[in-house]
Amino acid sequence: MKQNILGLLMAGSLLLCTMLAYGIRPPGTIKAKQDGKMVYVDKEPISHMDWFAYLWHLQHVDSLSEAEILLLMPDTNFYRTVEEFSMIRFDERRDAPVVGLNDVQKTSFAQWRSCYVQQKKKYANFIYEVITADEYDELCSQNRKLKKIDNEPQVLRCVVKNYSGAASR
Amino acid sequence: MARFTITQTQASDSWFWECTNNPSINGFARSKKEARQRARENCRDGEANITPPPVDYIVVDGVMTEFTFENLVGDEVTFYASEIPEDIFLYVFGYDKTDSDLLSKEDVIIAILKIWGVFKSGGTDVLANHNLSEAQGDILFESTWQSIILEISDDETEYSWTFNGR
Repeated sequence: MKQNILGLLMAGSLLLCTMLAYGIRPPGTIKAKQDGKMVYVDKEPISHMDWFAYLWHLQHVDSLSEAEILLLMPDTNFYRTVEEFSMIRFDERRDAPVVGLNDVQKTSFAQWRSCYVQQKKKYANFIYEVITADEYDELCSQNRKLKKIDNEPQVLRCVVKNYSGAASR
Repeated sequence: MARFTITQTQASDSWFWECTNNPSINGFARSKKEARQRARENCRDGEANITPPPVDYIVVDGVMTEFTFENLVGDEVTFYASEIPEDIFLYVFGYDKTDSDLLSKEDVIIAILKIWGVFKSGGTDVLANHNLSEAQGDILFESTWQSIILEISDDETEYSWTFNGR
C-alpha cells in the first residue's frame, strides 16, 4: 500500500514537472522547430534597452571598469559616439534593435543573459546561444510565425536549444 | 512624493526604472517589486505634478460600478462605487459639471486623497489628519491649484503641502 502511494506521488510529481516544463519558456523567446526539434528563439531582436540592462549589470553588479564597459559599446559606424549611444535610453529608439555588435560582444551577451536568467530557478535549464542571420533565415523558412526585419543581418537574436528534454519534444 | 516609470526588458526579464522628473536617475532591477523600491528610494525629490490620471470606468445600467486607473507610483488601482460614489468621481475627474454645493467638501477631499494614494484616515477630521489647512482644503475642493508639492515623511506620518495656484 505504501509503495502504491509512493508510486502515485512520484507519478504526480513527474506530471507536474512535465507540465511546468511545457509552460515555461526562456524570457523574450517563442517556440519554434529546427529540423524537427523544439527550440526557443528570440521573438524580437535584442533592443537597446536589453543592451543597456546588460551594461548596467556589468557596471553596477559585476563592477567592471569603465574601460571594460567601453569595449562592449557597438561599432561607431552605427553610433557616432559612446555618448550618443548612451543617450538612446532617453529617446524613442530605446526599443529599437541594437546594431553594430561584433561576434565577441554578441557571445558575451548571450553568456551573461544565460547566467542572469538562470538565477531564477524556473529558468535554470536555459542556455542562450547567438543565432546567425543565416541560421535565423533557415529557421524562418521552417516556422511561419517567425518574422525577419529589414536590417536582420545587423541585429542580434539568441536561441535556446540545449535544455532538459528539448530533443524529444 | 516619488514619481517614476517602470518598464520590463524582454531579453533578460529585468525591470528598468527611471525618475519622471529626472530621467538621468535610473537603473535596473531583478523584479518589478525591487524596481519600485529602488525608484521610491531614488526619486524622492519632493516634487510631483499631481493631475488626475487617465481612467477607465465601468457603467452598468447607466450607473457607474467601478473605475480603474494607474496611481502616482504606477500601480493599477480600482475603486468601487461603494468607496467613491459616482457624483464625486465625476466631480473629481471633471466629467460633469456637478453642483459643488451638493457635495461634501470632506467627501471630495477623501476621494482625491484616495485616488492619489495618499489617504490615511478621515471623515470630518480628514484635513487635520493630512495636515491640510481649511484654505488648502478649499483649494483642493475647488480644484483651483496648478501644481502641488507634497512631501511625506519616510514613516508616512507627516505630510507637508505646498500649493501653487492658477
